[in-house]
Amino acid sequence: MIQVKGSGIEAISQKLAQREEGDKVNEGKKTRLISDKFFAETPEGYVLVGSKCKSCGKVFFPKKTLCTACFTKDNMEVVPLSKKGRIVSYASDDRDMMGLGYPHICAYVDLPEGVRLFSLLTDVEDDTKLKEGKEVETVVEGFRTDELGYDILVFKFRPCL
Amino acid sequence: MREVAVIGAGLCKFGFYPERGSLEMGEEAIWNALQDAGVKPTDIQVAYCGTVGVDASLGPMLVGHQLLQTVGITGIPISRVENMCSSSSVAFRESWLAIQSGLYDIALAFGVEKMTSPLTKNAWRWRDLLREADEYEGSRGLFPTIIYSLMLTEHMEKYGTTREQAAMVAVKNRFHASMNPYACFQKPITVDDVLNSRPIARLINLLDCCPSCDGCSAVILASGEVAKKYTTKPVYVAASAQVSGTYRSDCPPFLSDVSRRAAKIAYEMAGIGPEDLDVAEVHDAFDINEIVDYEDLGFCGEGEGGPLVQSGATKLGGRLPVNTGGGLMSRGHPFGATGCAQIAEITWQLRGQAGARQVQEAKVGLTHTLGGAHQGDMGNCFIHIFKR
Repeated sequence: MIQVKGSGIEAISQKLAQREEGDKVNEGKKTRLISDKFFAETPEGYVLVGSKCKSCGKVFFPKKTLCTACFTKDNMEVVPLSKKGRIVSYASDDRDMMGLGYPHICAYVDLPEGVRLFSLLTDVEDDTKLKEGKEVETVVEGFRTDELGYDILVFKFRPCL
Repeated sequence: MREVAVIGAGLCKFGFYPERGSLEMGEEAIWNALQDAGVKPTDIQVAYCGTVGVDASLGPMLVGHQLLQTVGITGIPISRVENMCSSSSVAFRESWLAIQSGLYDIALAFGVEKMTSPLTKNAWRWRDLLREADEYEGSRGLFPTIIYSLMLTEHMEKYGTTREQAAMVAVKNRFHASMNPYACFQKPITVDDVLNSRPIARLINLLDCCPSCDGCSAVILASGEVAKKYTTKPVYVAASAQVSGTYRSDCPPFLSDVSRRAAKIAYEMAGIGPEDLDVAEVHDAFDINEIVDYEDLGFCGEGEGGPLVQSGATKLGGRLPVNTGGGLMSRGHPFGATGCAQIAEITWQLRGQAGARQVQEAKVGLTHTLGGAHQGDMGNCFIHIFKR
């Protein structure tokens, strides 16, 4: 249990110090997920998860408690999303708008369970192969560092060979 | 429904003003509108301010209140509204609705955006806001360049639209802007200039894209009876339509149906079709955007937007001049200021006050604004139709 004594500035400083100690360390770097609710941690690493409505079967990303297909509340189960999907269309920006040190390339990807995700792409050798329908698979890796020095982990898709 | 008319409009010149703040721009544009309408600040009964708030110099709150204070408007109901690029279209529609309710007779709709800072000419704070939005697709790369690169890719694939045709929109709008003293960019360009300009995204060059600059715009509305006391040339609001996206995944990303749905409502409300329009201001964040707008608004058939601009039909002198003010592409696109700037242009056209860029005998005009995007759909669309 984290004990926080006092109030105000002292309490906040204590909380920050305790957070730093408990930080996940990845090869000496501090990391954080772009959003905790996008992922679940498994022995194989982080996987994308969504909510599946137990009443009607619709799947949502990110997780939520109200199914907007059948409007049943609080009858969702957390499900891992398919690791493979297909490109709907892709685009790239020529400038370093994401602060990555290189221009970014991204796409809308359709997963078989009916979820359409917007995502960065990675390991793209030949972008002419990124046509509609091209199979891609999920990767979870770092992409940029935030102002507190944390490497942010995000999901991306890479072309399947 | 109550008759509502535009009785005044005012702008400040859109441009890059690192040293000029929102308050200065507001004082100029809003005062211009009040003067144009012949309305005293104390005559305004309700006001709406459209702004996204890219700039932090006024703080994150009460931008509308701070701007109105510069022209001596205080005490009345003042609200800030935001729908991304259509923020001052919301301000206009809410003003229209306020008068429709019967509670108010004179309303002020305005919008402002400051996208430059003393340190940089470019809208980098906007970039930072997007990429730090962890729960929004901006943090994973969804910038406007990506949205319109996707739109162009899909349109080229489906209909054979070319980059040259997209560039023709940029050239046409710059030609119109050369006759608009309020436009950010007024120097004419050619198709070659566009195709040879710096690439900023896949299939998109710098001159295919609107500038993120600074600006403020204001429009004054009045009920039909009150309007006649102020002007012999009221510009009547024949239709007001607003819809939001539905995030369909059965269509290509951003080739959505928001504009079509809004157009259907607007044309029905005004009792006209696209063939009755004399002039239009449509949303051209990027040049391909305008080509798609032609099809969505019924100016031509599906897939025919490229040939339409190529024919010259939407250039001044053609059968339906589009974006006589220069569009977002050349007048500039300070997010919050665009909606009311489009309405100001149509107001001046219908009153015969558009100078060198006047469309002869213009009696019916349309404005169309899009706002934001995510999950493959446009956030929202506004269409207003005006009649003399």
